[in-house]
Amino acid sequence: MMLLKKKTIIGLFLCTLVFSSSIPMLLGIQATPNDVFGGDIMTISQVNSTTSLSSDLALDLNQDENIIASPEIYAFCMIKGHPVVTRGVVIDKYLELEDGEIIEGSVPPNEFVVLGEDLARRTGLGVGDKFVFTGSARPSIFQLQVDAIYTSPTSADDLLISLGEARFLAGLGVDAVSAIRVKTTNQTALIEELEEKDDPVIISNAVGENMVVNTNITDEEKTQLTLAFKYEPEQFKSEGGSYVSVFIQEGGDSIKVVIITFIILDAALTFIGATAILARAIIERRPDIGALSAIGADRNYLRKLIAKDIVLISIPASIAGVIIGSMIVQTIDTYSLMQMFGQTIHPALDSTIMLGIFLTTITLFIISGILVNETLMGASTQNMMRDSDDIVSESIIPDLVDLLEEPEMKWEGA
Amino acid sequence: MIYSNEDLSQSFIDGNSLSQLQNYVGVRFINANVTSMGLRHNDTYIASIHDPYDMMVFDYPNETTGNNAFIGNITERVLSSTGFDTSAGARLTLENNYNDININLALLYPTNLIFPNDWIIISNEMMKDLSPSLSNNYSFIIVFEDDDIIQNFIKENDLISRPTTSAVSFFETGIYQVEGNLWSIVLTTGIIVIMLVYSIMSIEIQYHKPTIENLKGLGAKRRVIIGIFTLKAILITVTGGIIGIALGICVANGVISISSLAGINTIIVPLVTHNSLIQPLALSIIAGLVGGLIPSLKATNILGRKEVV
Repeated sequence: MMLLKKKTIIGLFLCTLVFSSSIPMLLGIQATPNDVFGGDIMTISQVNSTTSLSSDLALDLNQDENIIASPEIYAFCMIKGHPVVTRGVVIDKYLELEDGEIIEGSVPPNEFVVLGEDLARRTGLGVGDKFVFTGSARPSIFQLQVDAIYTSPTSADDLLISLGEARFLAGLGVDAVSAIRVKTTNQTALIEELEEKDDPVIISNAVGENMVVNTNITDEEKTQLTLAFKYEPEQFKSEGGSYVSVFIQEGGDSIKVVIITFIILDAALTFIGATAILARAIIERRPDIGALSAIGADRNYLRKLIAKDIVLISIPASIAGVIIGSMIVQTIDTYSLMQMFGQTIHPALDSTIMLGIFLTTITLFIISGILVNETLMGASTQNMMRDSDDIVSESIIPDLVDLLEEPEMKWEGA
Repeated sequence: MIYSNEDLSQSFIDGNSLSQLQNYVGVRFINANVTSMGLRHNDTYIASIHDPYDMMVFDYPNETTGNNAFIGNITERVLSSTGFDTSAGARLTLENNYNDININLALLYPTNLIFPNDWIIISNEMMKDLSPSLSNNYSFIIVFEDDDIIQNFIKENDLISRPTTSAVSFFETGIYQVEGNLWSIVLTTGIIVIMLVYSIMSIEIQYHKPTIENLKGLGAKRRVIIGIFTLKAILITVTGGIIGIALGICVANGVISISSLAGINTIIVPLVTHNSLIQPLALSIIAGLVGGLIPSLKATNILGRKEVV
């Protein structure tokens, strides 16, 4: 084990740690906009601002036992300096859709103020507390009192209020909603059901794909609208296109581009970092490699020796890095330390991702090790042997100046 | 909106301190119980509006005189659902710890007011009867300009201010949060850069061991050795930083162009600003300094030619 040194393992461990703690966070950032408006859910929104999406559509859809439809109104507000997505909801449908539950307090039948668990923690508000709340885009002042706290596996960052109050906040007309989020076991049936309605709508699925459903337009017009939405979003928006569907696609796409770039950058840095660490480790052992060469070890033997060492060092360093990295990420998630527009970023951390990070780092370390090994093995055996000789000679040959000053001590050091 | 407490019924602004302000609307706000013919509804929001400069677009609050009161449609719905008579002219009693007064319901106040639909707006005279402590004071005020006088007033009286619309603040704060997250990722990548510099400088020092020995043999001081190698580390990172920034700008624009070609629409436009140039360079210099200092310190432990024996 020539390269087995504490500082080499620590170096590779730190490379893995940075990689394993940043990748789940980056994937979490990427998933956040979709979690707000979609998740594993389909979102129905109006085609443009000239058409209104009615909450009655949700009532109709909820008649089907295979569909859970949650009519929602969104407003972007602040509570005690924290950005908060405020949702006007039918509380039962929202909690059913999100697999959520009330964990504290109770929800009054008409008007209610329900805080997400994470939001309550961030703002320090509890059941019974009052707070000042102002309008989103139109000026308004509210005195709200927390009725209950909810939690859900996907998001517990929002302020839930009644649809009536939210309409006042968002300036929407009677019965209008921003979007209807739908969970169904049969998406085809949902689309067929929507096609039977008069309302022209856009359905956005979990991966941000949009489909125009409208019984009043021809298939050709429908295709044109879908293409316009996909390739000419500016025009689509300028014509009053639905901001919810545009946000799901454009916001998701923009974040995806940034995140993929960061992941590539992270991997490149991990690779370069590992290369530098392994280069240093091998260079420090050049005298030993030279000595081995001197006693007859050929290059293939040395290559195998170093490659074996790199694999043996990489495995514990990567395992430790992934485990500690996961613990850091878990802590960040538990205490909601990272947020984006008031939404807690939930790191994407599961066994597949952990295994993926482990295998990626091992691969990066082995490739960088092979690269360093090949580059340094290009040096002549004589050079390496000279390194070896330098060490030996330094320890046995006294300094020339000393020899001149004290000739009687000539070979004493030897 | 300027106030002193998140619970507006506990919020208090001294009326005497308002003399320095030019224009404002003062609002008195309390919680009271509504009773009528044996019915009772607790903790209802009651407000009165003082608009000396006639700043409010709507005149309803000013028309609230005598016993007339205006009711929001949500409160009206809640009261009527529990059996109260909420028709025009209906008589209700408001009571709190100080007093109780009778009001006559006049009209629903319009939904386009700045105030929500779950308040009852009464006259200032009635409010003074219900809450004598608010006679010359207010629960909160609304101002229409934000200048130094207002800021000083808020600071001197230890008050809280917030705009009556919050969408802009939401996106502003949200962007700061995203920026903070990206900075934390930049800083973690900075750790790798530090390790990189550390490794490079360790290799450099290993290669220049004879030179260090000679320098020390010639009497070079510790700080000279540290200075040489730290400076070298900084030079490496500055050069790398400049090349990296140039490449980064190209790559960022390339990524966006390729994304567009791939049919991915993004709202991100890479910007080259002073900050986007200076910050990465500063980070490189810090990484060079931190990563280079440790090997440089170790270099001083190498014995000089004279010291070997």
